[in-house]
Amino acid sequence: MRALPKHPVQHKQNKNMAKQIANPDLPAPPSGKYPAKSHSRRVAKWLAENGGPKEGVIYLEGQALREHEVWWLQMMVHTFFMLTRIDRMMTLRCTSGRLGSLSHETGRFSMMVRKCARC
Amino acid sequence: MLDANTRFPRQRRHFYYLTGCDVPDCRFSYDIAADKSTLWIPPVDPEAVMWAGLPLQPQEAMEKYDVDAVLTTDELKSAKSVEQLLSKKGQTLLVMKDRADLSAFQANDVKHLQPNIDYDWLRRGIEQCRVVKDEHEIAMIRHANIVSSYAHKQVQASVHAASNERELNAVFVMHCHANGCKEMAYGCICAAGTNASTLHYVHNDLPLDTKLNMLLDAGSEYNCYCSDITRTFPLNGRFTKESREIYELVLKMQDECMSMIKADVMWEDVHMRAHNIAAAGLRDLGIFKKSLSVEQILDSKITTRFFPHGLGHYLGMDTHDCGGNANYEDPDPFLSYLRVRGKLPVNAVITNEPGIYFREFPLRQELKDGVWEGIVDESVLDRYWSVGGVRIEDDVVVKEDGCENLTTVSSNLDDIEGLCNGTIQV
Repeated sequence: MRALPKHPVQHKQNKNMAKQIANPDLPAPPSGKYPAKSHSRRVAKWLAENGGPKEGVIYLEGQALREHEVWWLQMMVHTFFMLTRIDRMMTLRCTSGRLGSLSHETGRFSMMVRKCARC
Repeated sequence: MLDANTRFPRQRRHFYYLTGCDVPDCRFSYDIAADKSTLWIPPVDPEAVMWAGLPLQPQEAMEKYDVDAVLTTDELKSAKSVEQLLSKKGQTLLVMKDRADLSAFQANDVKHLQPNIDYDWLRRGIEQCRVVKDEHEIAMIRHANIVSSYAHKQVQASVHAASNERELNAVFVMHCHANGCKEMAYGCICAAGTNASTLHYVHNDLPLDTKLNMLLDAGSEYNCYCSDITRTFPLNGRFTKESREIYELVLKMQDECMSMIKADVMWEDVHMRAHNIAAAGLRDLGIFKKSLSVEQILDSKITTRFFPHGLGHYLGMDTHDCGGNANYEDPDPFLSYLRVRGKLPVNAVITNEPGIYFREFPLRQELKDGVWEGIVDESVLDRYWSVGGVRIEDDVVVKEDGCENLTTVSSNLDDIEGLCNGTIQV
């Protein structure tokens, strides 16, 4: 059996490179669980105090992977919303350069995008 | 199933708000009366494991997330599970329009439960609640700000070595990613020279060569919570006279607005204060006729040509966070782009981002058509086109008697120049 190679030559500090890629002096991120339950309670309280249902069952779906083929499009809608305060109708371009259009009505989006074979 | 082209999807923000879970294909329920939350996670798919590794297990999810129970989504298909979820006949089911597949509740074997489905209240409730942040949310926005601020400093310290906007874009993204903030809250705006007059410039790939300044509007996310920071800096390490004048004016707009931000202040008032200072400042520079009063300048609405956007927006899991009640149809041109209307509540997080831009379109044509005759002095304005645009943006938490700035990269003119010309080290 071939002998395992010895540890390669010790790296000399290359002055052109940062000593460390990440900055060890930045503070650690916050710890602890995300307070999801308190958010649910807060929403329930808001509903009760603002004329909404006082009881009931909240039911939500998270982002689906099966939509991943069109996910870039949703992201584009999201990014697009931030990129342009659109009034009525704008065109957008997918990564392959095909054009689609996006309309903004009463705060919601509806999209019409021609099918693109390359995306 | 994941394939090679899959990008990890962006979790729906309302879902994250109630779960803290960014795993795709999950479901969530919360029974208000019982105060019980349940998270449904995808079951193990052996074929997917080969490619993507073991998915999150229910036990892990219980430890990781603040929920009362964890089940797998295949269980949702059983009538028994739906019966338990609804708990009684005629239960109100609060869902979001176009955001829920309700087939499980409409199947034949659960028809007798006849849930009363409400499509509107849930969205309204979550969007209003998201405006006021709790301690944990603020800590995450603060962290995203610390990392992004560090990346901003690295960009400023790298300008001498860059020849194209994309290089500085890459420096920013690299330092965010390496320090734990992989996702950008929005596409970076790296706009050199007159490109900065395009508010949401997207190309980020033009040469820096003869440009004076760069406007970098960039921020990363930490655990779905955003930062949104803009700095404008001189590419050769020293602002020109005109650039310096505009920078100082924008900084003054921001400082004055900062001192006004506290609980219950009307955001329209803060925004108009920025216009007021812009009017006086541009007049004192001679860009507006020196004989005009601030009132006359504001009445003409000319400042909407130089400061065309709103002073700021709520910030949270979305860069332009929900609950601002903007009125884009407002006939008042000062207010139609203002993304937050009314009083600011304690613990809302908002951006303070005034700017002055020299936008050739539509200003040049309007000047040619005489729209601004008697208001703008073109001979003075001509010296300023190459400044492009200056925006300075910080993220602040609204407090009872003031505000706390979460953005840690300096906007002090000497600090900016020092980082760019190497007299200050990062």
